[in-house]
Amino acid sequence: METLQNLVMGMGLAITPTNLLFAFIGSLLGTLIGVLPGIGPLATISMLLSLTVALDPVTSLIMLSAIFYGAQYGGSTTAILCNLPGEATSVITAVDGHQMALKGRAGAALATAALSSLIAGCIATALIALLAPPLARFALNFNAPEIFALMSLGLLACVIFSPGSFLKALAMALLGVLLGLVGSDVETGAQRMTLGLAELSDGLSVVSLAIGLFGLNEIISNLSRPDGRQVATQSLNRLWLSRKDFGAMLPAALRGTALGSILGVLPGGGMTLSTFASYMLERRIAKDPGEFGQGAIQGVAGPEAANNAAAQTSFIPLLTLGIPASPIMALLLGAMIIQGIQPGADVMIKRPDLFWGLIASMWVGNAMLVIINLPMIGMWVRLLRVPYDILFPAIVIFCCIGSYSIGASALDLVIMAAFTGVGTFALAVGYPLVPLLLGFVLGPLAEENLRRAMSLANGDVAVFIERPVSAAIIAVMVLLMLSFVIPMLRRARSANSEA
Amino acid sequence: MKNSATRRSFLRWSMAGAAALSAGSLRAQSNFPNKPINVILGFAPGGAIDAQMRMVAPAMSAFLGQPIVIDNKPGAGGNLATELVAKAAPDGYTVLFSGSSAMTVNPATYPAIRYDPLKDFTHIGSLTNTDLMIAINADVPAKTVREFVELTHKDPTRYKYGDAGAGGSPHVLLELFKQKSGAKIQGVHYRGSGPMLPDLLANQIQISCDVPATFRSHIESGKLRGLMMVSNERNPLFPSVPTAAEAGIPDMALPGFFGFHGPRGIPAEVVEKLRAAISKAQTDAAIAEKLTGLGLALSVESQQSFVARIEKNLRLFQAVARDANIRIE
Repeated sequence: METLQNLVMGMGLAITPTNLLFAFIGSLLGTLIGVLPGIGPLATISMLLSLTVALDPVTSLIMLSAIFYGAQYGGSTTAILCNLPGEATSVITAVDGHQMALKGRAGAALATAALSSLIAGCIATALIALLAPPLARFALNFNAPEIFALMSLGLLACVIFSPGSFLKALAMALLGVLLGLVGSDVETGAQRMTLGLAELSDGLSVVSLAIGLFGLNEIISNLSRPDGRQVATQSLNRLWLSRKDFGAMLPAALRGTALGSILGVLPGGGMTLSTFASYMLERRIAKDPGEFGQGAIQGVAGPEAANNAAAQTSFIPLLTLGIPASPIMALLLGAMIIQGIQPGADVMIKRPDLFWGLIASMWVGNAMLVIINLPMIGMWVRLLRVPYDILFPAIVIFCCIGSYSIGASALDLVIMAAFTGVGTFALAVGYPLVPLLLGFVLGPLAEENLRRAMSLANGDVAVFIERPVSAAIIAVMVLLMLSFVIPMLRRARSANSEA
Repeated sequence: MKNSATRRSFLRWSMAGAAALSAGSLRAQSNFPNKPINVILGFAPGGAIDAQMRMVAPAMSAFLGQPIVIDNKPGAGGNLATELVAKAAPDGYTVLFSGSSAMTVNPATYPAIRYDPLKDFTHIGSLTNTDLMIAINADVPAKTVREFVELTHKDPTRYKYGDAGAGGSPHVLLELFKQKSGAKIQGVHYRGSGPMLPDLLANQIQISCDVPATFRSHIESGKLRGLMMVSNERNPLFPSVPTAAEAGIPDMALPGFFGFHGPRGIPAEVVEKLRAAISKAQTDAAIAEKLTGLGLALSVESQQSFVARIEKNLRLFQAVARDANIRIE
């Protein structure tokens, strides 16, 4: 009852003309920067921080938050149209989303992404309103051993479920882990594999890596095809989803929402992990797993929903405990501090207007995002008709601007170019790229938390099975490995007995 | 190798000095500032350094009559930004706003650092003082430093300290605390206070050192307990937390500061103008209230006392880093 009263109060704040206006500005800006590769919410929010000092605290947080979750909507657009993921979280959307676009279903793919995001955003916001404190307590009990176990599970599942050769996927995942370890070692501060370059002390930029591996690589493979890019343009006019599409999309989006909501509360790589987890789940339970990678609508709906749900629930540790679970949340925490608000365990009590106003504005913002995004689908799809000779140089320029803008470092462009080469070579010899990216994102988290868990437990490995949550995750890993190895052994045995 | 490096840095700052004395810059300084001033920060937005700079920038800019451009250049524990400013033109248009660690701690813990805190800079002035605080999880059955130390002696492998990064001020201060108090604690390092705090709240680590703002709401809600200030003055926000001397470790009063530094050789008039802008921001009641709300104290001191403090703290941290063998390479 009290929650309801609070929500009514928050909604009253969220729909004042000023707050509506700034939620709209934030959503629009978020969509735009999401569409542009590289220029992400992190850079945009940092640039706008100074301007928000003049605004009311609630208004400024409403706008900055809208930029963040708005960017998650926009991020899928270039992933689907150009196979160009601007962030690690939209890499998996590109896999089936771009295939749908190539088959003339770009409109359906974009609509799926927008609707899944809306569903996820609304449900996850309701979760924050109803369950923020218990979810935050759950996240607090998720410490180094649990994070290590979860990241390892993610890596294992990615390798096992990767289509094609197991060994090739494993090799690429390990290469990704290795690349992820570039930078400062957290326990000693030692510089690892930085070639003496101070710019590498914080690691390789994930954006440069993703743009090179997927986006620029796609351009090279399009240009190297003698008949040019193949896009089915005949049925582009059909923008909306059929009843059958809708039936496939909705359950996948709901499952993605559930996965994303839980993983988003956890510290670290929750958002990226949730998109991959959702994709693997959808492929596992699909009636026809062969469709995945060829333009399965569930492969867009699930990860997009997971991504947006995670973006929404990642606010929980910040709003209930003052703990930023990601660099973006650290920025929003900074925005609160600049306004003279002391973030912490008591924000909900001391500033209920801020907490409930922000939550209510998330529904408003999500609704606005769909209103902004759906009419734009037609425009985006027409973009595919632009001759490729004009389109691709523009994409390359945007990629360079985006990659450079993150750290204002020319080295990031070199890294982007290098990974374009890596991607082209890997595809030519038939090695999958997705495990490399997941290894890059999850590997360093697994390593850091493994060592932290060991330090905290004085080197006693038993800590991973003594703690219930970590033991449960490890049990799942063992089952997963058995389910993979046993059929292989059986096949080997039957092959032997036949011989 | 070493020789040529020192010669290069000598050349760099003597050339910088010569440039400052040239007629051109003498003419330029009389109407300083006549273009926007770049303030370089060694950390991304979201932390105490960025927040403070954005709080004071409007007032400083109004006083100077020129925009202040805040330029976040994170990397290598803030060292990238500090190096950048050391090499900039000494005209007052490029200054660094940083925590004391850039001048007093990092040069002690990073042997390969490429700047000399005493030779490469004009130390303009401090904005605030920050007394770091040592806090423990409230489930640890100790109310005082002495009780905590006794506890660690009963179970010497049980208690862990956490800090916001290997080689930073809290890390060195916790090692100093270990030396001075005799506590048996082992260190675990994090990438910032953000990831460290959940482990302290969950009692994965038992003791930590950071700016009081990190602990404030959790001390008020009873999840954490303030053990001592790393200072000889109590903090008005935490009147019951004892000073270092009261807690029985008198030589641990090391107030950190946040201040402005430029490359060596900024003309005195320009320095005075910048100091006046800092002082203008400090006397703005609304800004002062926001800064003290972060648990910071306004710092009013002469340039000489600022430089002397940097030199004194640098020597001390160098000694601790040597004794505790803290080397970030």
